[in-house]
Amino acid sequence: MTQKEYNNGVRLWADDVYRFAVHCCGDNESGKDAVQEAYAALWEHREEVNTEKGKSFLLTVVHNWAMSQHRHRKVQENVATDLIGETTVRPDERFDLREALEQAASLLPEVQRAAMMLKDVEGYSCREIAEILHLNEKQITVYLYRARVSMKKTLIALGYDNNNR
Amino acid sequence: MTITTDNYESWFYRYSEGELDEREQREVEAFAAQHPALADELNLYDPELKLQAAPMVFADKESLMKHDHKVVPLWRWAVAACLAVVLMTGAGLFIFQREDNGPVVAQATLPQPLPAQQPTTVETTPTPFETNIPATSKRLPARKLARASAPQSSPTVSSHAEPTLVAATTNPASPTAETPQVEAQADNEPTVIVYHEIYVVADAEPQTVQQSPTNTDPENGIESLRSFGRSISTRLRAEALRAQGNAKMMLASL
Repeated sequence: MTQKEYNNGVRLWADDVYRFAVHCCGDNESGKDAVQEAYAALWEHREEVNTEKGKSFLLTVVHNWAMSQHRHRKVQENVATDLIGETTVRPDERFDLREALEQAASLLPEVQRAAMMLKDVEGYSCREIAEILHLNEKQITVYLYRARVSMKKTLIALGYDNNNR
Repeated sequence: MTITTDNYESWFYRYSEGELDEREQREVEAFAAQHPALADELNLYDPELKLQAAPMVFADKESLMKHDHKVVPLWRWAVAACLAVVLMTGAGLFIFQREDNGPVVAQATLPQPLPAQQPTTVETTPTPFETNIPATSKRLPARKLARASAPQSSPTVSSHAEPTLVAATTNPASPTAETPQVEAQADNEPTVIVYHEIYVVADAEPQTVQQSPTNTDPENGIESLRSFGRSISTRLRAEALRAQGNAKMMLASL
C-alpha cells in the first residue's frame, strides 16, 4: 500500500471504521482512540497490507483494541447483567425501535455485536467476518444466530415483538 | 455433516438465512421436531432483525493523513551552522575592535604649513574652540610628532624645508591660561604650530579645534575647553555603553 493509497483509505474508510469502533467500544472517545490505533497500525504495516484488505485490516485492529479494552475493564458482563435486570424490573419503559435495538445490541457479548455490525451494517459475508475477527466461518454463524435470538428475546422483554415492529 | 445438539446453531442460522438446499432443510425440520425447546428458539430467530447504525463522520481525518515532508540533508544544516558561526564571530570581532580602539581619539596633528609669505608669528582666525584652548608648547622630536600626526594633517606654519615641530597639547587641568605660544626657532628652523584635532570615531567626522594665536581671553578659553571636554566625555560614555550593549547582545546570540 502506497502513501497515496493509504490517504485514500483514510478518506474512504475512516467514517465506517469510526462507526464500527464506537459500537465496539461503547463511546465516541474510545472510538476515536481505536481509529487512531487502527490507522497507525495500518501505516506501520502498509508494506504488507494490500489496498483491497485495508479496511478489513482496520476493522480487525479496532475489534482487537476494543476487546483488550473490555478485558481490561471487565465492563461488558456487568453492564449487561445490570441492564437486563433493569428491563425486567421496568417492563413498562418504552423505547422506540431504534433505541430498543441499540439497547438489545448493547447487551450482546462483544464478539456477537461485532459480528452483527459487520454483517448488518458493513455488509460483509460470514467468510469475510471470520477473517476480520480471526475466527472460522462456522463460529461466525453460531455467533450471529445467538445474537439474533438474544436480541429478539430482549426486544420482547422491552415490549416489542413481531406485531409492533 | 449431520445436525446435532452441538452444532445445531450453525444449521439453524443457515436454515433461517435460506442457505440450505432442500435436503438439508428437511434435516433441520426433522431435528427441530425432535427437540421442541430448540424449535421454540428457532422460531425466535428473525432474519429481518438487523442492527441499525446511523452514518458517523470521523471529523479529524487530517490527523490520520500522511504527508511528505521535505528532508534537508544533515550536511546542509552543518554548512549553515558553520556560516552562522563565522558571521557571528566576524560581527563580534568587529564590535570588539571598535570598542578596543576607543570611540574617541584625540591627537595632535602635524601642523599645517603656512603660506610662505606669512611671517613667523602666526596669525590665525579665532574660532569658538580655538580661542579657549590652553596649550603648552613644547618641542618634540620630528619623528615623534610624525608618529602622532593624522593622515590629513600637514605642517601648518612652515615655509622651510626642515621644520622644527612644536606640539601644542591640550591641558584642561592646567589652571594657567596662556595664549598659544609659538616658539620661533632659529633662522633655519621654521616654527610650526600644532593644531588640535579631536576625532570622534563613531561619527567619523573629525572635529577640529584650531588654536588661535590671537586669542586674548584666556579665562573664557579655559571654560569653553572644559565645556567641550565634558560634552566629549558624555559622548564617549554613551558610545562606550552602546558598544558594550552591542557586544553583550552578540555574546547572548552566540
